[in-house]
Amino acid sequence: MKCVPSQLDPLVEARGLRKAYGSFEAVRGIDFTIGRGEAFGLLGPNGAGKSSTMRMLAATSASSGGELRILGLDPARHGSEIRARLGVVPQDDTLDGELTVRENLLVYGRYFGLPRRAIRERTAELLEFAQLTARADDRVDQLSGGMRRRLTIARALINRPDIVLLDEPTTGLDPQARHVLWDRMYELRRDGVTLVITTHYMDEAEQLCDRLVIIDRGLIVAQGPPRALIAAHASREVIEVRHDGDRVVRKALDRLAEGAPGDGVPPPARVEALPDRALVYTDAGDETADHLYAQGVPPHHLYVRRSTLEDVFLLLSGRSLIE
Amino acid sequence: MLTLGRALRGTTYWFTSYRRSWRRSLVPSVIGPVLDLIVMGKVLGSLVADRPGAVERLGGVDYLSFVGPAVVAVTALVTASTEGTSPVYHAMTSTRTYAAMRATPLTVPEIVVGHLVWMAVRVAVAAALVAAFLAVLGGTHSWQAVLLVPANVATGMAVACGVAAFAARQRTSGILLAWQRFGVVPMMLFAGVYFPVSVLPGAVQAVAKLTPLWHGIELSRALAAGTATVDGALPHLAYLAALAVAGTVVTVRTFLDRLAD
Repeated sequence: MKCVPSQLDPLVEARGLRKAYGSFEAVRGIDFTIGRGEAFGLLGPNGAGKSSTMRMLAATSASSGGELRILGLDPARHGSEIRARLGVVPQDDTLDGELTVRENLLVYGRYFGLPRRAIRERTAELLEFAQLTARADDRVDQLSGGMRRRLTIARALINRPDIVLLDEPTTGLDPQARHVLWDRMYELRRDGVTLVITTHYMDEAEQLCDRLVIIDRGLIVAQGPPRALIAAHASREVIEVRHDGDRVVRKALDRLAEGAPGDGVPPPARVEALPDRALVYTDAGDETADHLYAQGVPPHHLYVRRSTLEDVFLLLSGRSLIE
Repeated sequence: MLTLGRALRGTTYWFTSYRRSWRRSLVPSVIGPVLDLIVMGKVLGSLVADRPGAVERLGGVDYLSFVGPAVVAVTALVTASTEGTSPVYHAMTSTRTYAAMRATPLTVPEIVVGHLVWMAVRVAVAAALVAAFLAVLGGTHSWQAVLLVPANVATGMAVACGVAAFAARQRTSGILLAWQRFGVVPMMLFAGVYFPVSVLPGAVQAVAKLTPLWHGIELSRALAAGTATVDGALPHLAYLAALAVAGTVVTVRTFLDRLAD
């Protein structure tokens, strides 16, 4: 069944939402709504408040202030009813390695009060979906990391949830496993399941999310569809120029930064100077690159690419390493 | 909030998990007590029988009938201690089963109660097997002995409900053994399993009578002999029930704290 995203029917509404642990405020007042059928992304560096927000959405963590309605209900009073309609894919999986794939689905389905027969039928579908049918009777501790993640997602779907919460679903997976997982998430999205995804992989957010918010130090610093965020906060293209202190290259970059490249090349939106290299944000990547070549910049020092959410993200949350 | 129906949903997990590991529980819960009945009840009992005045000092029964019901109570204590420590610790830390349950409609009190109900089942099965073996050896003398099972579920739960809080609080598993060493072993030695507590000095006796095991043993001896009365049993059951309730409250609080996000 296909559902159309609708702001009139929000599944989640947060207003001024806060979460404090003692004197530390992990979430400092954020507003967002998530519509039915939407794939909603929460982005941010480590410690930004993503996981705290996720736990409040999972109705397992009480908010410290503000308003939160999930499926039209107040999680402080109707936690159990809300959780009955959620599917949760936690960051560290909570599968039982000593049990088989099938047994893990059975016990989890029982937590929702589903009858054994219904669980058996649902298990067959979910194993197919997770591409684990052949491993149904293997113990979970014999599965690879990617298979365990797929099983965790399948398990979260056992109760046919209205919202699936995925907390960094692909962290720690190799590229192949990541892409298989993306396929699964695309399929959910296509089937109209509402997804809430936290990630710090920009490509993931860009490809999977209809809309996202970028959180930094407990506050929303930007929100919108991925392409709109890129359009608003970055340029169409980015040229990475490595100068390694070379005088000729630096001079060409300085002229770009002053906004006067000459030769009829449109001035770049911004030039970000980094140690040994610079990022040139521009809507005219190839022209600017040609201009730089003409100035004597060696071709192998230069790389033109489409700008990504990563550029937006680094721009908004800064480049310093947050531990 | 707590509804029993939801609490019981967790037992499917504990049962499924137990099916993988039941062999490990045979030694503490069944084989150990059965050997205890044979070695203590029969072998040591044959030596005790020759002592003049022994039967009187044991309350008018032979040594097997004295020690046997106590071994049923010890079975409950040991099973409850095993089930209340390691599985709780692992579900909290390594397998994170409780965290998985937390993401579902189950509330924290329901998670606790569901696990405690499973522990009660384990205690009941172990107590029933050992009580049946005691009956085969001839250590029971009345149909009241059937009640050894529920009576010792009370003994076991008086222990398990509180020990679960201790296990849930730990960050490393090594300390779990402390309960076996400093809780279970002293109780087995001084709560009147192998000799009546009346032979102990007054102060030690008073302490022994505070242990759940002593109350379980008193109940068990009366039931095995067929001399139990409601008036006689009630104080013991009330004491065990009070310990179980207090333990459950502490365990729920500990879980709320440990599972808080």
